[in-house]
Amino acid sequence: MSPLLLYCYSAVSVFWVIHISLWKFRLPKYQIRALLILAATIYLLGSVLLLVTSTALEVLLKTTFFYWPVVLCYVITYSAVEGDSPTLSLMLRLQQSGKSGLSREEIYSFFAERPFIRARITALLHSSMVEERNGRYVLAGKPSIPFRIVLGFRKIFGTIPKGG
Amino acid sequence: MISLLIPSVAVMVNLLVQVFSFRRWKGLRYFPSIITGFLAGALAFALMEFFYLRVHPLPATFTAELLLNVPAFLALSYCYYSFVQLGQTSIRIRLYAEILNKPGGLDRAEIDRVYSEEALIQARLERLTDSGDIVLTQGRYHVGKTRLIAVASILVTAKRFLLGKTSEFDQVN
Repeated sequence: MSPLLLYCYSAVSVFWVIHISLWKFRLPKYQIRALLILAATIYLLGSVLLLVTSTALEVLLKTTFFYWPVVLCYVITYSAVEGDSPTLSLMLRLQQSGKSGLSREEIYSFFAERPFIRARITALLHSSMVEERNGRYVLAGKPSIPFRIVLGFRKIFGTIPKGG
Repeated sequence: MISLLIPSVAVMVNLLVQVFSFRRWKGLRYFPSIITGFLAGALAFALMEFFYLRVHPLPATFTAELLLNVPAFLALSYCYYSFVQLGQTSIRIRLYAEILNKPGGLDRAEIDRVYSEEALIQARLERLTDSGDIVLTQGRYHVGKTRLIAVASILVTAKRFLLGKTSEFDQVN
């Protein structure tokens, strides 16, 4: 195996092993944030190690261009592990119902046990993006840049469905 | 060094073709636009790799390209898809947008008016019925295409392994 492949796959493996070990030891309060901090820490330490051992800058760049897409891909998938998806929850419930299927009422009663909107408002409050002031939910501070990027990108699409 | 940029350029092609086809189809064919964008990106990726490997025809280069650039391209495409999908289906983004649009914020009743749990269920039933993932027969909903079941099963397994529960609404931690 070439050193480049070794660096790239080792970096991702180290990230994964440490992530799983930490999660088994103690679940972080802010899981996505913790994953990103872990990813950045491993990247920085790995970069220093590569530069100290006089590895060519090209190797570092190639490792960067491999490591970040793969790690971000995992972090995005992890967000679906941390929080349920209403669509996937419904699909599993329908599968469990077998041939009899579910009526509209049964589906509504299934979702009544899973208050997604309330849970996501709590998550927004929890992550300090939104705050409750006099019984009203308002933005906490300036609008979040990542949220603005997503909302801005939707405008490029022309027709803007409300989403959600 | 230039091979570094091949996955990123291919994903830019994906983005441009996806946005162009989505706009051309007037926002009516979301998933076909995603697939068209991805295929265009994959084609651009394959062409760039083909020309790069013709200039650098070493077996070691070929292996490195295959084991580094292919996963990087697939991962970037997945990141792009997830980013677009956020604007389409994320509850958090939708709520944040609603709150952002009202300088005085929203109270609970207003949130229920603009985006209720009922609206959330209705939107999903419509999307899943349109895509054929669920079917409505004699007033009852059934699984149609099984592709999402596989994804859901993998995520539940990962949840059980990492978090020790199968749903965020489980009481057991």
